Amino acid sequence: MNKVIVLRFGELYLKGKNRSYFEKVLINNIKKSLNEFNCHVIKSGGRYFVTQYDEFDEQQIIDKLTKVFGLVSLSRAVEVNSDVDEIKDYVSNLHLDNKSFRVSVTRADKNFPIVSSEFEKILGGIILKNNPDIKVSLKDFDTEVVIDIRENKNTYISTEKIQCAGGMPLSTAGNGLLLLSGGIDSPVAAYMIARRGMSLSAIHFYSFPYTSELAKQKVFTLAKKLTEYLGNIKLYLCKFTHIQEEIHKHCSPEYMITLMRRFMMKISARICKQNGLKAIITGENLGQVASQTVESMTVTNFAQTEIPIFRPLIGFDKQNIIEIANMIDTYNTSILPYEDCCTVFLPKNPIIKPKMEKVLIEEKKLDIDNLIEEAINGLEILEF
Amino acid sequence: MIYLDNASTTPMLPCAVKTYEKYAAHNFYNPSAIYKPSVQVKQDIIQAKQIIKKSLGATTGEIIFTSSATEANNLALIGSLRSNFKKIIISSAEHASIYNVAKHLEEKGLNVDFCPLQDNGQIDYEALENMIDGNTNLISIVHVNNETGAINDIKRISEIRNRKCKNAILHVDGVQAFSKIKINLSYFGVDLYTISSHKIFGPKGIACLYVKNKNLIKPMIFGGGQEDNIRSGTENVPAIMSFKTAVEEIGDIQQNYEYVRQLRELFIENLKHLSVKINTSDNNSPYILSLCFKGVNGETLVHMLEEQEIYISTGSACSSHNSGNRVLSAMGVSNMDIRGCVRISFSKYNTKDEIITASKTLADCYCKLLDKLR
Repeated sequence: MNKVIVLRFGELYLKGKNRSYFEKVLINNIKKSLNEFNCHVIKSGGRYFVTQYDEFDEQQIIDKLTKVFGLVSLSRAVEVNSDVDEIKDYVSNLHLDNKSFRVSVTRADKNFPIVSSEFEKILGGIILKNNPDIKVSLKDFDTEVVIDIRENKNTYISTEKIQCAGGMPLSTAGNGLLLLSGGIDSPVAAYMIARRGMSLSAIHFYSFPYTSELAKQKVFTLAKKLTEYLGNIKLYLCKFTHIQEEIHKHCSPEYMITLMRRFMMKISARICKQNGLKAIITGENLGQVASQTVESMTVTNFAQTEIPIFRPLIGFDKQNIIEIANMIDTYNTSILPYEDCCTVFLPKNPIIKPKMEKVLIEEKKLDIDNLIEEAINGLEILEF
Repeated sequence: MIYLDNASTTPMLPCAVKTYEKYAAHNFYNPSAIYKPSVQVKQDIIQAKQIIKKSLGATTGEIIFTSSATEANNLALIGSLRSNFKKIIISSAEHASIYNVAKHLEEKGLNVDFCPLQDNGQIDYEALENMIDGNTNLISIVHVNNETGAINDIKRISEIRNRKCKNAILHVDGVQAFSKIKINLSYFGVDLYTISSHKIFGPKGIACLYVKNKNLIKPMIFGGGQEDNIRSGTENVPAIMSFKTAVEEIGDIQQNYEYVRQLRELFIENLKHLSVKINTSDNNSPYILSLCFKGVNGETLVHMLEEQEIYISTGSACSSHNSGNRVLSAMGVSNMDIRGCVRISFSKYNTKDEIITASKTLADCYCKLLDKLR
């Protein structure tokens, strides 16, 4: 009797002819996420399993697996021979703490002598006998005892199902550049887009000496936390101070944020083009602050036209975002109170509905090309 | 590199490092064991306590070693607390390790009064006199404030206590006072006094609470009964002995005081032409200088100096926009001014050249920043 972890994939089954490609990438991602452990990821009887692991590592392996996009759920299970008595014997030793249960038998091996529904009744009877305080409930059960009889003459028995991250395997949907501010939203945006299979690099704009090393360290912490879902992340650090000082010196204060955002997009698009990244990802959601109105986003979008801007949180409420931030464990880092570059030179009344003509007039006051060149030349690149 | 954040921490003296190494690698024995080298280590700790006690001017009482001044302050308040306690008084300028303990006790239902400050940062002695009554069980006042350098008159506080409620325990947080101004606990009439090692060129991870009468304190940490049963846990011998070495290196307090006073004067001299407000008055500790620069963010100045490898700190404990600064607010400094505050803290090892360079660089950075923000 071996202990195994049963893996279940989600949408991959919708992928028709491309399924084997998606499956291959997913298996590769799973193996990568478990590379620090001594274990095997195998396919057997049409199912994927993690096997031959040290029981000591089991919980850590499960924690890693729940963060692999493309996995929908997993179960700790035991592998027994597809033998009626052996299965009955195992089931008779089950002690269920919960109040209600059901037994679900799937019989891929049609040579197994008892049909599924019949076997469910038999096994259910055994469990009831040994757990007198428990009731059968086919619909609202606390525990589902799953008996999966495979064609390879093995049967897998589990009593729990652990939800995983779902979505599509990382690196099956291109790559993008995330604007990582240090706030609550951008790590969540990273999670949402990566969950659809996009792998990410990130860019952080900082304004030393107006912002501190602590603010940078906070962004490093966030990047590190995101690697749990995103694998390795390349972080571009862009010193934004001179650009902000120039805007402050020459332009209308109410346009500070609009102009800053446009600079960020121009710089990000340059980095995307140089590095083969196909989209810019931001954590904006409609109406949250002045730079997140439809008018603001429009003038920001047209700062450059070659790289699309994706805003996965556009329709989210703050509360939704906070819930996900808590789930991916970035919230408590994000709320650390260090100034970020957007709060430096913050105007009293930022414009809510910027006009393109006015933006262009303001930008004429600046030596945009040189400022961008200077920012690009000063980029630092870190790997997480 | 010019280091002017000595109120935050100090580098260990080479001789303190040497002592540390001696007791970490060679005389590493557990002082509770019964063989000869351990007994010797035990004796060394007893001697260290004597030396520290003497440096505090205490003729009676015990030294209880703790892991930090924060722990010592916690022990002073929580360890002295009794079920019949009715009221404690602390000042509004206490360090977080007193202030937050008091707040915690207040939440638990204890009556806590906060003594206000005068404009110069010292406590309002008259207000204290009015606050103390027959129900007062404990008074905790900082000796030298860590943000402003304001020196409270401990003798005067002790006399007020004696007049109004002789049985009230008097605790003093002496972390920024120790080794910098003259301390005589017997003369002051203090019951409990906290000092820390890493502010006086000793190692981090060691501090102590002076306890006039050990019956005043009940333990917070239980175990093998070390430190007179008040603070269990194997003694941090390397840190204790290294702390002792640092105490032995304090030198002539009056002479150091005079030297640092000159450094402070020199620093202020180079900023006189600017729009700068000093948050401390002349008779405060010269080791700490709190400055408010008008129209800028103090944090930006700190980072500008950091680029030149000159290290000072912000006036506020936290850089967020609205957190402000509890102590400066209590002194009546406006929120707008608090944003522009920085703290310079000197040591006797700073040179005049360092002070000239640092003050001129600070003035220069301020002017540049004002120009950029205009």
